[in-house]
Amino acid sequence: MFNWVPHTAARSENRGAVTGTTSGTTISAAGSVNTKGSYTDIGGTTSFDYEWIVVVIGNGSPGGNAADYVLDMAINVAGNRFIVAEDLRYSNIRAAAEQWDIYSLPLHIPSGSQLSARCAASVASTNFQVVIIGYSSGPLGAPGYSRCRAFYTPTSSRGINCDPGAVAHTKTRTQIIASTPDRAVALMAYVGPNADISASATRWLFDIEYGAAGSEQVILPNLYLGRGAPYDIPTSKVFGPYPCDIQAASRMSVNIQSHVTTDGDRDVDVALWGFVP
Amino acid sequence: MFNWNLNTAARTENRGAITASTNATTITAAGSANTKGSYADIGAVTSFDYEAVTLLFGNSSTTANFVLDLAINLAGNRFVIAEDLRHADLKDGHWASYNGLALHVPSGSQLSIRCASSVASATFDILIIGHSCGLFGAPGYSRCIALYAPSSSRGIDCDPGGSANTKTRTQIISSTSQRVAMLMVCLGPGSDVAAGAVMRWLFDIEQGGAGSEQVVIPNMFHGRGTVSDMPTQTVFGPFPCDIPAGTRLSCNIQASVTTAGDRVADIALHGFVP
Repeated sequence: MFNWVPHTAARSENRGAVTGTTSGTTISAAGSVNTKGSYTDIGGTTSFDYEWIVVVIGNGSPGGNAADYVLDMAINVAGNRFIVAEDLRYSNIRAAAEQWDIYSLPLHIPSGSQLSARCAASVASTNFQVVIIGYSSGPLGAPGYSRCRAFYTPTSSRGINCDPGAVAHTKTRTQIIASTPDRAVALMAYVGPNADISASATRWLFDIEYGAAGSEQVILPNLYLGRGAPYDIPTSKVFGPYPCDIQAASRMSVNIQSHVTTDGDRDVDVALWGFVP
Repeated sequence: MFNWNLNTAARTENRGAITASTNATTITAAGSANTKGSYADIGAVTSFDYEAVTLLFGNSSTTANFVLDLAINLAGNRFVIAEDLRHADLKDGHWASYNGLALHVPSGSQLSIRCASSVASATFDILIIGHSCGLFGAPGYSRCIALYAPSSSRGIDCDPGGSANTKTRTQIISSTSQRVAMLMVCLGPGSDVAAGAVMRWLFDIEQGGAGSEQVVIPNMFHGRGTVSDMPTQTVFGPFPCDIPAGTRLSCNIQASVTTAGDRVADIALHGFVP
């Protein structure tokens, strides 16, 4: 049982760093595209309860083909494996070993857990590296949530294609999930370039909404993102987590506008997650 | 006075978005390089108390390094609440964010930003999202202070040295000016945007006097490729901590490559004052 004392200091420890080669732990996709591979353990078991974890993902497809990825973070306690963060996104689609993503996740990990990860990728048998830093509390001594649920169904190991349409500066709505599987008290988003990696400079404004078709309510208004040459895809793709309270069975959508109208260039893919109390 | 209820829902509002042009508010550096320009207001005054703010920015006018101050103007008095935040856009097309910074902004405040840049009169665009509480309904801190002195509108160059996979320590600040209860790290590419090869870093953030450093954050992992030539997502944290005023902070970093320039990262640290 977590005893909430509003202190601020926290212990921290690293799992997965390989200092001898300045690397992380390698996670490999299955031999079939868009299919989850086997779990790989990340470092030793945790030496204290974590209430907050930072997950750094990078060095994707080194020397190989660029790819989209989704990964599950799991813990193994006394022989039972539980997924604590499902279908996190890693969009290393521009070129090998280019993208580095950082997730800050308010999650409870019991002491003695073996952390592990598995992934699916749009290219068979490719891989990336991961490092995890665990904290004994969140900011202000906050406890972690039980798990991070995907509020989307990955397609080709990426998020849901959101097309702003052919009219510049005008929003178009796309449903991300028809019915959320759990109540969520923090919301996180990841915005990738969908399938287009040769775009001109592009800017987007987008709302994240919940509610039935025709009666959507804005949760996060006008998030801002763009891309430009030479990288051609968004650099910083993780948004949040942000405080919220979204009931189970909610419909979630994204309402997005772009300043360009070129088909493909104007598209993004969006993945959403909710943290379950 | 903030009433800390363990609620989770939050109101949000946007300041600075320009929907008619799918854009945000433009901030312009001074006519001299590495000199702060004038403040630009970001949207209208806040309509409720914020306890967390999110900054989303990009669309620079040219490739440049930036440092920016976020301020509030309340009843005619301007206060800097986040100083020398980093925006590393040494390659065109870099977009970045500071997500959910735990800062208290009173209702009725006019948000404003000014910046310095390594290129005179350079601009970038930014918007702000205010949240009525942080995660778990947490209140915001009073301000976010820079725990480094910017040089050429970037962080402190940290050189891992000529031996691969071996750490070298660089002092980031000799003495912090305030106690801080959260620590944030921003990593940039130094002045090198033509990396010869894919590379990786592992680095510790430490506190303590020279020779008796203690690791606060162990082995953060980052890297860059040869297309973007820049670290993509550049902001780590904020992380929980409790660092007294008067503390020396340093970065102990190793790299997978030994090429001078390529192996250097610049590090900016920020602390949140309770």
